[in-house]
Amino acid sequence: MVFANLFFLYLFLPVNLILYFSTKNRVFRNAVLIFFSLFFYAWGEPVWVTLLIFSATIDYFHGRIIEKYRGQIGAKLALISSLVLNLGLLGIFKYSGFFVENINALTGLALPVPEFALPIGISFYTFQTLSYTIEVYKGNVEPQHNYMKFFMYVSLYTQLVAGPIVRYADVAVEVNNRQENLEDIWSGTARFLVGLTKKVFIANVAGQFAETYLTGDLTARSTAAVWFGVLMFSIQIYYDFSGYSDMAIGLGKVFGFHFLENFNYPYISRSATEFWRRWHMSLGGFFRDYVYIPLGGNRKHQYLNLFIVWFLTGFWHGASWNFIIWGLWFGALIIIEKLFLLKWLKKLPVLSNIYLLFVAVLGWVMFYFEDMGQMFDCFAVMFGAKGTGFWDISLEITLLGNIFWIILAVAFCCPILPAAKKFVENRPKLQMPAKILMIPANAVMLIMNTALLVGMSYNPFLYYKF
Amino acid sequence: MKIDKSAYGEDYNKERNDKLVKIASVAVCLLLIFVIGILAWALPQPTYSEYEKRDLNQMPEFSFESLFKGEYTLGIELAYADTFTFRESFVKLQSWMEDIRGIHIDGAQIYGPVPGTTGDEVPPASSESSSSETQSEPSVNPSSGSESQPENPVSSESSSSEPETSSEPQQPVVDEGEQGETVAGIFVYKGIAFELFGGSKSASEYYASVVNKYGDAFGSGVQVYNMVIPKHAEFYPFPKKYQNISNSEKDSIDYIYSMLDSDVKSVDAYSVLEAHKDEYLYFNTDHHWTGLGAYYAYTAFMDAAGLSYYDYGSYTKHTINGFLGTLYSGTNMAKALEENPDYVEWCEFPVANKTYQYNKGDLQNYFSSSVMHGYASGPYSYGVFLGGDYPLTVIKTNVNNGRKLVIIKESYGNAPATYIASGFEETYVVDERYYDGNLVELVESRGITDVLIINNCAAANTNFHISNIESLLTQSYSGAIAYPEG
Repeated sequence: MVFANLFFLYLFLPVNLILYFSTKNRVFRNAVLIFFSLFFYAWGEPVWVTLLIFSATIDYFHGRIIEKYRGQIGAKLALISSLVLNLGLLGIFKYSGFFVENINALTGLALPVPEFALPIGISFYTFQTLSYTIEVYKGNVEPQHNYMKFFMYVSLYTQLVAGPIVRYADVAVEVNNRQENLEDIWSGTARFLVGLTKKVFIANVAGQFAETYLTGDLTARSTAAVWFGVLMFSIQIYYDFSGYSDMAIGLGKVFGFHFLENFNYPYISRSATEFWRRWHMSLGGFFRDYVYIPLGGNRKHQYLNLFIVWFLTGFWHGASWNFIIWGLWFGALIIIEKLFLLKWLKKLPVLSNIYLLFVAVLGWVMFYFEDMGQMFDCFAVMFGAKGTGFWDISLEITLLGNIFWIILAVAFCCPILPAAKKFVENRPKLQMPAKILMIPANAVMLIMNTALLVGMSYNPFLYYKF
Repeated sequence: MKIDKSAYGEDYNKERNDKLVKIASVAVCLLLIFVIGILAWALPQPTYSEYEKRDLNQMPEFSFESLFKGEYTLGIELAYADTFTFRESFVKLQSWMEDIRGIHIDGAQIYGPVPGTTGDEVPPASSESSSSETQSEPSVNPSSGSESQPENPVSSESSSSEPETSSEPQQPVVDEGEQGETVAGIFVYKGIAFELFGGSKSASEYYASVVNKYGDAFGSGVQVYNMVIPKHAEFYPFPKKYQNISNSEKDSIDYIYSMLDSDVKSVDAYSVLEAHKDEYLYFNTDHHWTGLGAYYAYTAFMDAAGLSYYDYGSYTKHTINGFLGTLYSGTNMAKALEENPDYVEWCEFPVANKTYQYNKGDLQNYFSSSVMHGYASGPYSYGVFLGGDYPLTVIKTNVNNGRKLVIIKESYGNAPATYIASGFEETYVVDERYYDGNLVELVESRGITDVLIINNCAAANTNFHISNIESLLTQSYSGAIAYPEG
């Protein structure tokens, strides 16, 4: 199941809330969360929910074993077992097809290509349980003795399928003892609705444009039209992903959890280095702490370490070469920035912003097209190498016809909301009116998104014709 | 003291108000979710959408297989969304939100795929391509073969009625993405919706080759005609800026006609329509043409066939008002179109006749029907012509000229057929999408003298339609086709 869905909003969520808040009993509340999380997951993944349970269960035991044999070989074995099993799951379900295809291509063999449908969220929850075992091994966090509580942490549906990658250490206290309160429920609700709006009002619409302008024969489109498509994808992926994180963080708050932020307005960055401190922060942190630093960080063979990290970061996003290229693109940029560029960028305020947007958008082209031929066509048209003309009238109509929406979508890539919040916080007289204003604002967001979601089901037979 | 007290009270009040506002904020959201959620559960749920012309998804039947495949839960989500409470109002709200996303100079707005700058680059699709064939099967309602066709095949309260009673049958979803995009989106301008023409040279060539096959398929006593009809965007006087938004249909029609063998007679509908282009030839909100547009094409055809035609003034006419058609649905009920509804003017069939029709999938039974279906209304108003798309309609008149005609058509052909049939002893109107019989067999067994292939320009550039027309020559029906005698 996903959040931006009528069935979730109007059936699953209200029933979940009623049952959860029907009692103050902590055990009951946790049980409700586990039940709804399993239901949520099994709804979309009725078979591979078993993997989730498997992954959670083995790492629960890994944690216990590490505790019992701390300082001995048993603890190390448990850690290795966790690495092998979790990465093995990922390897089998996410990457086996890719590996076999490439082996076939390289050797001319015709090994049967495994065809697993990627279980939802597997990249997220295997990383979560893995981080738990590693942190327990390092002694940074007490292992959880209560299986139910551990399972609740892993399966919590708010962040299960699309992050953020919540580390156990960050929520350990709240897993054991949390206090739901009005302040959190209130701000969590607003946060959820903002995330829903980002997803439904912006990302879905941008996604339609991206699909329209980036599908089919790109060499039949004008340069401006393809740029528009690429920019729309850049908007889509940011709003989609960060909107989902907002919804996760907001819902988490409602249930008394406080997850770390996952996005911090990445498009206002002034370098690729900064971009990755603002984009999908929980993933960047994971690779930093568990790959980059163990490899030696900036102390030994830094550039090799960076290469490995960015190769893996790209590969994590999907089992396809284009994601690896995309990861290495950022790796290369970051290395170049470390060598000399960063110093210059710091002195060039506006230019550095333009630079980052430009390289990030080029990166999204690599990210978007799994088909290399299409990727090259896209670059060729973007830079006028196909002679398709710069402008076309239907793009003009589309731009004009959506101009207010485009302005909003671009503007909210900038930290307008935090600025507004700060503005109000500094002016005590405005606080109450702002809070009152949020009442209709929340209602409008909810109704608006509902209409858009209903509209998505409106599918007239467009090819009813002839 | 006093000051202290009031300060304390103020703080207390502040805190209480703050709490109240937060509770109200959460409560409003919860209330909305609960009320809408309960209504979605409790209110009666529609099963059919008139404007979308499709059955709404219903709750799926449970099976472990569908559960494990994820189909069951997906089915529930689809059904839940499809039958959501106040659905039409929400869709209209969504449509309004789409409208205010930007500026529409003269109401200019584009829906659906945008045309590439070069329409000819669309890769050719092989005629054998089976993917479109399988998808083209009407997904719904192979109707029952009973002869008790309801008196009123156009059900206006179709929300709960069986789909087989609707006159405009559910039509196939054609995946044209791979087949060559011939309709390149809908362009709304000044309250009128236009289908943009993309076109494809390779599809045009394929079309011409299929028509030429018809030229060779029958004996010497059978004359084959071909008519390709331009659509609305072709004649509308757009300002210069928009003139190239739709590719030229004239170029496409000329190209097709230039490839036709001499034994096929080309009917020039283009010129006669162009001569009358300021009249009400096309609808504002529907992708079809009006009865008047069809009338002009009829005169062109009768000229080509060497027959006389009726004067438009001589018909007894009727009007159906308040028609919001397929392009209104296709633009998510665009307000600009809603404010500019169409009317359908139709003419009574001028000669005595007996008319019969067949349901989809059953050529062994026919039922008595009529040429004009004057009760058509609402989104189905174009269904006044022949009652919509039946696989076969047989019109027998009291004309005595030895001429018997087959018309091979998509829905554009419905309107002209209702004029043309008055000039022939017998007319067999075949819908290329739904007719399962063999055309050579039909022509030979019924003593046909004339065969007219009529398509709108987009259909003549769409492989799905062309391959259907081609298949008519080779396919065969499994049973014995019953023809109305006498």
